[in-house]
Amino acid sequence: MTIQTHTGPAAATVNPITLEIVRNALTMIAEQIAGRMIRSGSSYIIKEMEDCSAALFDGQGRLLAESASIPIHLNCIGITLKTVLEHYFPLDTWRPGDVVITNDPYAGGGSLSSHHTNDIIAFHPVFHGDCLVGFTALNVHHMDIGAMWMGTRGWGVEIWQEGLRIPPLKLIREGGLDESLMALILNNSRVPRILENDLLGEAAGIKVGGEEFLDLFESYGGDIVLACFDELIRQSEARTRAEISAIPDGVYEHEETILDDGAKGGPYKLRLKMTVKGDEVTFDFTGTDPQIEGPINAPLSATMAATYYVMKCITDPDIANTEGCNAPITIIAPSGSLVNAKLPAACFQRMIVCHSIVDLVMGAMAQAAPARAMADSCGCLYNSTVAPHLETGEIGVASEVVPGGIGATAYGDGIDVMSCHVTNCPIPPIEATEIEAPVLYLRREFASDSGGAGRWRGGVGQILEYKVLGEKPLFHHTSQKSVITPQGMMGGQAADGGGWIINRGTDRERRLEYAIGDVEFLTQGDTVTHISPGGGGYGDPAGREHERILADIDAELVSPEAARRDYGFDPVKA
Amino acid sequence: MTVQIGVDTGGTHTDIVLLDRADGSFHTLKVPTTPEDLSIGILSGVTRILSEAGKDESDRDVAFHYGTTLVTNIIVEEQDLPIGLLTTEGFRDVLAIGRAVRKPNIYDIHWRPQPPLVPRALRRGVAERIDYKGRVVTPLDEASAREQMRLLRERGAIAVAVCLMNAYANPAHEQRLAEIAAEELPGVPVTLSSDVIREFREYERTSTTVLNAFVLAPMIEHLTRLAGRLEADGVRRTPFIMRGNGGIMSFDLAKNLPAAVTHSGPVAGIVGGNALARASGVTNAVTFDMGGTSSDVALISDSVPFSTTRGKLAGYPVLLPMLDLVTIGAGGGSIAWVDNGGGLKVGPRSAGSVPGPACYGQGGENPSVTDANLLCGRLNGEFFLNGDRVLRKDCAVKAMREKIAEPLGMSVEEAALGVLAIAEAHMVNAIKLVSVQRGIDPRGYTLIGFGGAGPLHAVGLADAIGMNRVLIPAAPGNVSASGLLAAEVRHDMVRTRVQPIDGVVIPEIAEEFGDLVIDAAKALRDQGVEPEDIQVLRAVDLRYRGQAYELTLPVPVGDLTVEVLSAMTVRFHDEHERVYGYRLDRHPIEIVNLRVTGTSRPPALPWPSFPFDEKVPSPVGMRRVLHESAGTAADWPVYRFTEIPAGAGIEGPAIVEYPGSTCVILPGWTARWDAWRHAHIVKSDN
Repeated sequence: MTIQTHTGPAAATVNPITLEIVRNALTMIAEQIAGRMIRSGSSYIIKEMEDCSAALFDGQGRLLAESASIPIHLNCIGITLKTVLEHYFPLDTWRPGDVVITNDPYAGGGSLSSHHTNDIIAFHPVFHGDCLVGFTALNVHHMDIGAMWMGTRGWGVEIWQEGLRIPPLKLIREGGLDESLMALILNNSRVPRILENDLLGEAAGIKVGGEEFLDLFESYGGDIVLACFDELIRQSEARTRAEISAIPDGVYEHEETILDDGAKGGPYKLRLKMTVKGDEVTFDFTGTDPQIEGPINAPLSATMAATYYVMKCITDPDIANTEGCNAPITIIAPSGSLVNAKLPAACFQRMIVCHSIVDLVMGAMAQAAPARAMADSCGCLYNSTVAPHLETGEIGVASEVVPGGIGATAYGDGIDVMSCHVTNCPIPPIEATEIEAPVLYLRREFASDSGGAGRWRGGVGQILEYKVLGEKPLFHHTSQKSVITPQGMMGGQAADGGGWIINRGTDRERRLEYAIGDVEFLTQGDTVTHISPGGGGYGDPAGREHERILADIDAELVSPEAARRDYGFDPVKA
Repeated sequence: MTVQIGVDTGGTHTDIVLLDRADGSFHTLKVPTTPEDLSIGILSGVTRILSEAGKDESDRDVAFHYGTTLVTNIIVEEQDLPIGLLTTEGFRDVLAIGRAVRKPNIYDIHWRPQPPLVPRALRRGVAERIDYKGRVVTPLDEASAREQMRLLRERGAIAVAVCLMNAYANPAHEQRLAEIAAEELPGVPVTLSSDVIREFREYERTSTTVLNAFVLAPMIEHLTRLAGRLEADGVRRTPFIMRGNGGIMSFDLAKNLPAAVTHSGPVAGIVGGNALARASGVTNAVTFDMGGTSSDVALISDSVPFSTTRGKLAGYPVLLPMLDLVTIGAGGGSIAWVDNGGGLKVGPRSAGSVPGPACYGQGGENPSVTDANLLCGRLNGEFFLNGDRVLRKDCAVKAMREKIAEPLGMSVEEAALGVLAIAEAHMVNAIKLVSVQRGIDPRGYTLIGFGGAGPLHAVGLADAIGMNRVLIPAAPGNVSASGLLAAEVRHDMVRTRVQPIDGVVIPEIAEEFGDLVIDAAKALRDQGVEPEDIQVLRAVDLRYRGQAYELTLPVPVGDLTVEVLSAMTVRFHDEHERVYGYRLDRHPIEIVNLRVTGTSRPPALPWPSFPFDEKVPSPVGMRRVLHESAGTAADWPVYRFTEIPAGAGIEGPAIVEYPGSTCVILPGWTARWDAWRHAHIVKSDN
């Protein structure tokens, strides 16, 4: 069979009506791929935390559409596809029915691939006749890939500790599953039954999505659909350029710190010089500290994904996210640094750097166009305890990507307790967790007074508390911004930075010295309390309307003392 | 009982149908909705239709079936009702935090979540704790409970929701709180989560419980007043109300469980569509109910509409079983607009009834789907709503030109066709969502188009998807109201019993099913269903071990045996492969829930039938219709439904004008009217 690929400008021209129809159809296909994965998934991370994202590409690997899932995933799938096409499977090596997978952050030699080993990204080619016209793809965070600790938690110092690395390989060849590859992968997981279901679901999902993708070609004709793809990308680029043009030209610099409490040799600096010139923008991270022996290094693909995310936030979020959005953006990230890891850096918790990149760009943007920016948010927060189930003996996982306070903007208060920026995982139901893991939750509540004061108040963080009922529990914790807490903007105040306490209120109480740590062994019966940071305030607190302060006091989100201290407002006199 | 009345109250109109089973006569009526007190409009309508049907005061052995959007309206419009919420201490913010996820636009930093229905000051914790197996970990602290209830009383709570952690596994503490509330909060209605739905997932259960408490007082007041007025008017039978699961329930039961009445109107449409499809021999169908602001789409397989327990009401999760419908913001009044990037969009904003579409001539400046239909010649400006409203083409042209055609550099005709194409593409996506997403190919299904605007688009949608059959009911505007007369009394029971199917002890499962069957039958008898009319269906929810979403499979009638279970196992693997594209033959399968549904005997059909008349109907005129491209306008024959007899056939292209609707029959399609004068429109080359 000869494989043709569509390249170069499309022959047909499109009208805005067909374009809109194709755009909606592509988005729906992506949403359905992600939706099926969640409904068929068996790991807790997929079925309850929905940690998976779908995207569609044209035959050249250009992003066309995505599901509304996890921003950091979405903006990485296309980068990985380019690496796969360039270094492993050129366009002429794809066949109908193939599924290619990879989870290797260092595939292709750089760090332009999956962000961490638990994310297995799968691609499926779509053929219209003999012509390769597109790809459907899913990025799924799988439960366990055989790292040093369950779920790759802990403080890995090199990639070899982060589990099996699968270079881009065909898991399915022309419809036939590679049983040997599958056996090898499953043999490396602590939960092979879960991984098998979820990996097969991932592959099947993009194949079903591929059929729906192909329907478009059959309904509207190949030339028209391909012309629509070009136009979708062109429109996104044009609109993004117009938005950038509206930002004043200039060079804006900002700095953020991670591991600022001294954990693991910190603090480390992230530096950004943002240059806006006409309708283009350059993000230069030169001056950022070198990569460290720890799992927080961001592959370049992660730095790019976080930057693309925040660019969409500060331009126009209604611009459809396609390849065109990124054309006006240049990213300079020194190799071997925290923002461009190279082998053998560990990178499981690259989200720590990614969240800081968002605040870094927002901080720079506050100088250029403050109304487009947002005060700092709570950052990267994980809370995970693993112990055998008391009755079944199976591995039980109580874990969440913890929500916290979101920064305020020029237009409103920050959101109280919400998944932050580049993550967007729903929190799992407590009642679902308690069935599967030996824990008893004691508290999930707003943390009063944790939002930064301001004309607009930052969102409050959360107090999460649970008791570990299982034996030999492994505990893993990550919370950013404990010393340099989420900063306010335009005169708004900083938020509370939160913290971790074991056995709070007992004679065995201990406050964890560092907000980020290695896996540690708790004792059966211990309680874990995590207070997540709030979001920074926006604007001078003196400008806040009294009715809003009173409403916050009534809701016990702000105490009368804090109202006096932060707002100079006395509720008794009011 | 010989006379049945169905009443469907919508936002602007109340549809009433009356069926006299003695002579088969069928009456319809549309009256204005009276939002300040719905029962006023309903009563005047009921009185009118009874007298139109010739029923005097002494002749009113009447059954009353009611469908209403009141529950949704209360939620949307009464955001400030002071409702109290009691939770396990430490969890009062679960309702506000929800699942803490940002959707649908993940890049919009100005997006804000919907505010919870109970403000924080009225969300109070009570010391107690039960674990997932239902064991008491911390006993209920009654003193703290009383203290919190007094606080709610001081704050003026008019109703209280109670949702404690793991109460689905053991409701004892919730039940005790209800007893204490009777003392501390006399006269304040209390909703317990364990009475509403005994299923895990605390946020969704709390949300459902709060919704129930939120609408409880106004629904009790409304149903009590309505029942009283009906009785005073001589309607003395137990009145029934449509519920979200597709069945009806007595007013008395609905007063305890108003959250079950959600989506009552659209659900009645699905039930009505299903009933008429079944009568016409159609068992697999997609219902397409298009009104002024939105379209509702649902799937029916083997005459059973799909249902879900993960529905939403006004954005808030509802765990109660309801028919699974997809609602999209594409109705007749949906506004077309051009976004910043030059993209043409339709909806979800609607022109509503005021000012309405531009062609209403009431000052609406935005072009809508109705304007586009008028400009393309598909609607008759002189015969809209039976001629009750004149549509002004000049206003439609002006709006379409200024808002769409000029900005996009196209003609008014091209713009109008474009608006229709985009609106129909949204509808096509909705149909795919209810079918393809479940692994079902819609092409073998029949599309049933109804609601005021459904018949305008049904054939076009079927054509686009490759469905070969369309069904248009005889009274497209009355399908919901007549669906109320076709509904059974229905009661669902569920019990969560997670276990591997291989290890099932059959006598235990059989006994559990037996208990549920007894409970369901009792619920039906309590609502006046005769024992011999009770039917019971059993089903199980199955999944591969570890999954969180289940597939529901019916349990065959008869004894449960090893063979029956093993046949269900095979069926599960097949079904899983159909829906998700893969199967795991060696993986363990779990039973999750046992389900029992009790129903009354299905009522006879409400539609009157007519003798066949082979006479070929003649058109009332010709009209210039734009179709497919602006340069290809052609004259299409226009028919009046009132002049089309049962048995008649018409070949497309044609327009058929119903009293409250208009049906577009595209070229290549042929319509034939059956004995009930439902139109079967079939793609001609089949």
